[in-house]
Amino acid sequence: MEFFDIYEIEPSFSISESELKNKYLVLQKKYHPDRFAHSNIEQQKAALINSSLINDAYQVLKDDIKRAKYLLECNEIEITNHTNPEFLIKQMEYEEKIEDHRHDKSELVSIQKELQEELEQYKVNLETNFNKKDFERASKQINEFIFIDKLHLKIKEKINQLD
Amino acid sequence: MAYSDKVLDHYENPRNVGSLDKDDPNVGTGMVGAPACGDVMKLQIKLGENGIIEDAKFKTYGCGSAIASSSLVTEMLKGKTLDEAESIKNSAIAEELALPPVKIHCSVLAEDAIKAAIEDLKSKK
Repeated sequence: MEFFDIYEIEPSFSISESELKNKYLVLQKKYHPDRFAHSNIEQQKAALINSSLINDAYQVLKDDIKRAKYLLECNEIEITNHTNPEFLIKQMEYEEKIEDHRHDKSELVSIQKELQEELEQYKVNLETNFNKKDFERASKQINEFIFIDKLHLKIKEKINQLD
Repeated sequence: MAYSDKVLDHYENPRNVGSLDKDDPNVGTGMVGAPACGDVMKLQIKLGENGIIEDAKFKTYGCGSAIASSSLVTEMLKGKTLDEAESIKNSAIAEELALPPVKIHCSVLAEDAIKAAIEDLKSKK
């Protein structure tokens, strides 16, 4: 849980984005290599390592999917490769709906909202399962979350193209 | 990344796109997906009286290689027995389409789809 330790945040799926960002800015300033320009080589090296570690940790912790993957990894669980067929059928129906309404902005926006709501629901469930240490279930949910997230991005792009 | 001519051919003229009746006892449906790229693939096979696959259809939402892999597979499946179909390896698909290493997982997905469709069919018998 090194990444959480760096930020002195309790390891958990739901974290405060603003807290993370504030801590990132403070740490980045403190360990910025420029501040060690006049220090000896050892100190410069240490600052560089700290600085990149702070960055790496931030990139993982700020992203829902990466943070969930990291939590699973720390508990020696991989994201499952198997996706529930029922879920995939639903995904395909979404794809078909998006294709059928590709010129209809208001319909696309309403599908986008639906997907957004699903993502929020998954986040709630992920938090519950991580808290219960039910990593098997969390692994399945993050697998599905990634699909919905991809679809959500895709529909956002389509809406932007129509603007 | 450049697609091979064969991938482009299947991508531009996909064979056997569509659906078969999933409730037909002689139809097996395989639904597979790759979370890493968000690809979703549906492959359906229809078994004839003689135990030979007489029809195959697919629908894939994904990259060109995933579409080409599933399109090619529907062509390969027709006329085969279930045992023969089950022995189709992803390496054969990848080789036929000249897939680059980063797209090998698309052929793996197609192989998984064949296995899932056969499994579904067998579960109906």
